[in-house]
Amino acid sequence: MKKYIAKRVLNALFVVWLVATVVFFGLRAIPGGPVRTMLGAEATEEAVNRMRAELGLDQPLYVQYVEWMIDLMTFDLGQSLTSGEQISVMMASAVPRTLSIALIGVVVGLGIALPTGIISATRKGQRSDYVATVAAFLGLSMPAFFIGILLALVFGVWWGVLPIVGYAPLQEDGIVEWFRRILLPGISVGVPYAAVVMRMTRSSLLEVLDAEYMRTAKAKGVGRTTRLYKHAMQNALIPVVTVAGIQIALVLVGSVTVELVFGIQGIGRLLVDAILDRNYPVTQAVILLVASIMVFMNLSVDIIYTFLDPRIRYGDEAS
Amino acid sequence: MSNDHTTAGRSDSDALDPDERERIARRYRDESPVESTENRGVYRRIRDQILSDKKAIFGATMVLLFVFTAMFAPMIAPYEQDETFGINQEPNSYSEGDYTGNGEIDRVWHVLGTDSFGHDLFTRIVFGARISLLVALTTVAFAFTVGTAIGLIAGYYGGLIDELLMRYVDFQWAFPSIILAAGLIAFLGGLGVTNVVIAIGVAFIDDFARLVRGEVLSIREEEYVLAARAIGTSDRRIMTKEILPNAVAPIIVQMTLMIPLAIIAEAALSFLGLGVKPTTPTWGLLLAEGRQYINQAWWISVFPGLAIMVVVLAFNMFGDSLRDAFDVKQSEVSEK
Amino acid sequence: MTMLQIENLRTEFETPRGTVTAVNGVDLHIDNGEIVGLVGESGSGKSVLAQSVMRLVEDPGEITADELLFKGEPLLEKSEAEMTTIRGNEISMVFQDPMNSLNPTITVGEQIAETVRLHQDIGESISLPAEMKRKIIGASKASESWRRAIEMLESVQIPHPESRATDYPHEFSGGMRQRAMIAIALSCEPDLLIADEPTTALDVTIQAQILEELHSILEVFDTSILLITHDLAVVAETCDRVNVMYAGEMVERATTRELFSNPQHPYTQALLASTPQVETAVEELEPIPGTVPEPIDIPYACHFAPRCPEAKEECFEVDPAFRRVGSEDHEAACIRRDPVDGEVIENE
Ligand SMILES: Nc1ncnc2c1ncn2[C@@H]1O[C@H](COP(=O)(O)OP(=O)(O)OP(=O)(O)O)[C@@H](O)[C@H]1O
Ligand code: SF4
Ligand SMILES: [Mg+2]
Repeated sequence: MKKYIAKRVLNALFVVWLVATVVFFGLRAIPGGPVRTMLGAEATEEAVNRMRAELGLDQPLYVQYVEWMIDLMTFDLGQSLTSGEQISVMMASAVPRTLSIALIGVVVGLGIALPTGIISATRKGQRSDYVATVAAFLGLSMPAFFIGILLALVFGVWWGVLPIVGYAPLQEDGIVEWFRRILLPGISVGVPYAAVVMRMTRSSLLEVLDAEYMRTAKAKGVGRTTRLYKHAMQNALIPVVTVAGIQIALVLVGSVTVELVFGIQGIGRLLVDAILDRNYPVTQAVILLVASIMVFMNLSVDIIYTFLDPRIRYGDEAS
Repeated sequence: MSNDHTTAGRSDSDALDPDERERIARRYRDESPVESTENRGVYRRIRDQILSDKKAIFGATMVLLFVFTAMFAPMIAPYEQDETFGINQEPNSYSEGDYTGNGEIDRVWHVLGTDSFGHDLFTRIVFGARISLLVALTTVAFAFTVGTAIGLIAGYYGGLIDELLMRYVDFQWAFPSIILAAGLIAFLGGLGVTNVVIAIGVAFIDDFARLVRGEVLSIREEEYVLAARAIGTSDRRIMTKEILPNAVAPIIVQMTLMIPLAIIAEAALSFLGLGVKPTTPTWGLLLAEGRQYINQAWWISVFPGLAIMVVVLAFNMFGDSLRDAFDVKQSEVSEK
Repeated sequence: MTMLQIENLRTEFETPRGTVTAVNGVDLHIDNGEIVGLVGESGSGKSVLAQSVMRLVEDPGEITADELLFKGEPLLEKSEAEMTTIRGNEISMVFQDPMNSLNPTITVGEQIAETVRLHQDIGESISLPAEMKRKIIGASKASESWRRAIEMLESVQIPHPESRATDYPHEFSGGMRQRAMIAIALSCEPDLLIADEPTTALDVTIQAQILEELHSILEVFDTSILLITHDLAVVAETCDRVNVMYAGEMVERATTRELFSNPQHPYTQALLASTPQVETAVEELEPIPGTVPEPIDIPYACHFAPRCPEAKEECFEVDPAFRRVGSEDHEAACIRRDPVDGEVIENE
């Protein structure tokens, strides 16, 4: 098992390095270079050269590359071109906001998806299954930002029970205010996530309930509830964990758009502004961050897997 | 033990001969409706299953309605896409003014109201369907072409090529597709339909590549492929004539399920302001505008949002039914 | 005394294509300490019959019977809770497919120990929290149930049972898995063991070992066995009596010796002719032409008629009643067999 995890960690690091490299070269492959694009066609040659020197773009490519890698390892992400602020400082304020939304989203999502999926599968073909399936389809069909707007409309504009603009940092405003401001965005990103995970839970559990070993359990005289939780659940969760992990991407993307709905200055806002301002250092930092989060998520999935699937736990790499 | 006895009865004179038996058996079977279903072809079975699936019928109907709306937008929309009337008009209200320029006051009906520029919302939504459909079809076609090629080559040749290509796909897999698309927009430098198509198209490549590679790996060692290889059929021919047709079912399902994802991706990019140019009528831009005026005009965001929802729902339902009919596993195709 | 007494058992599945009558009015009885064989081609309804006895048939399945008596008690009238105490305890089953019949995420030892805990009063909690705890942190190796599990593994000849008990099923070979299944089935010393093709998925030497085991079980535990197979050689070696099934119906029953020396029903005869036997040269084997019909509204009276070399028009119309066709209890359902002593056993 140690070997397996070590392999996964190495693989994750490799992917992060690959992303960093691609971002590095991709940026320098922009026709005319970032500086030209940034300053516009009318900029003087002198201004362009000054800018290039400032950014270290006048050095040989390999030097730049090595420097960029060293900077990355020391978490020095450079400065914003527009404000001159340290990107790491900007991140420190933006990341908790986005992660707060994502966290509520995942909690809400799993909180809805797992029970609903289980009920739906164990009552296949009954009314509750039907209702849950239709609800999941609807959830799957609404982009998070639309759910956000609907929630803002109902709870903010019409009922006026929750604020719909801005964020309240946990340390400064306390948990209640933080939660009040993060709840609607969290639900918005949680609903599509719940829909995807619920569908997977349902189909995976149905498949497991149909498995021959479940019939064996029944033939041994194991009761219904014990069959469901002791014999079926772990097997059913194996594919659910994969989907729940990969679909964190859905929650992150959702957060990026939902931040704009609720006027929260998270990494979504950061990314959009950076792209529109051609603020390349910020753009690359955000992209690298998101990719790292995803790689970390996948790594977590792989590790959770080792606890769920004995075939992996005992070094049976083939499966 | 011996088996002499097994022939004992056969000399019996009144036993029926096999042909006669078959004839009588058939006479009995013909009365039963069951036997006739047995000989149906695969296609008829699939067609019948889809036709008997309410979910599929609903999905297909709505999809057709959507395509129809997109194609005939100028005829369906009551006004020109850029025509402006009174701003932030409620649904089912009227604008009054000289819109035809003939000196008389016209009274213009807005079934869904108007937006903050005074565009008739229904007209904008109808024209928005065009962008959605156009972007969705071209992105999926693009991702399909490139992704299938990568998957085929990786799966078929294996080894180093496979390793390299799949490394790339894994790398792309690490990105949420909209973030990747946003990054590509940054790289392509500028807004517009073409850039949106390229960005989303590239971002969806990995889904097809993975799917096709998986199918190829499972088909590659099948007898008919080995046979084709043994008689010296060229690799390209084997890939396109033998392997691809057998992976058609999951690919079709995947495409049907990617279209709504592309629609959502386009809407999300436009909503973020990273998509088409701000004057283009799209659902995502309307939603962004509606968010701004959420206190004054809820309809600007709600109706385009519902449009997205209905269209995406329709494709998802249809795709889901296709998957059932083709008997493709849920885990085989990806949903994001 | 009779262990199992079945009369007119029907098991039907409502499907979109019609009602599948997988078991169609079957009679069967098993005496104490007997090994009874059930043979028939694939799809003839053997597994469904076996599962019907334990009421394991899943949802669209409907079981009805004039009599389904186990040790004189009507199983169909028992509640699900009562069935739970019977399954695995008084009646247990070994399934057809050893590769998929064990739970991949529970250790083999625990899968046996669990059965022991459920049915034997050894003072270990079987509440859900207790079971989940065992699942997550592992069962106690000092418990009585674990000790019994190791004993059972030993008795089915798994080498190093103490250490193998903590293995997961994927670490077992196919033959070992089937033995583990047998260990589970026997762990509570059932009165009736239903073995559904226990050897089909295994290679010949392991087959022989497993059959050997079944024999010794009978002696040690005094268990009645219903042995399902389509391998006539296995039946000839193991069983006291044989029942032949075709398309959901019984067609012939007799003692093993009688059936092999004097098969009467044309289907049984064809089945024997299609099976390799010691004295038969392979060229002489005659496969039965055609296939078992799907058991959905079979419109003709004798289900074998379209494949029967002796069929005549009447066979398609008149239900073949069972009649005595030889010594002892030898009966067959074929209208073209003259009843011995004129005894025809009317079907309902
Ligand atoms: N759950 C079910 N729903 C519908 N039909 C079923 C179901 N289970 C079994 N059948 C049908 O019942 C018939 C008998 O199946 P069964 O599994 O009992 O055959 P078998 O004699 O055990 O064959 P084999 O030797 O292959 O195990 C088959 O035609 C099968 O298709
Ligand atoms: S009843 Fe007729 S068809 Fe049926 S087995 Fe006897 S001879 Fe053959
Ligand atoms: Mg069977």
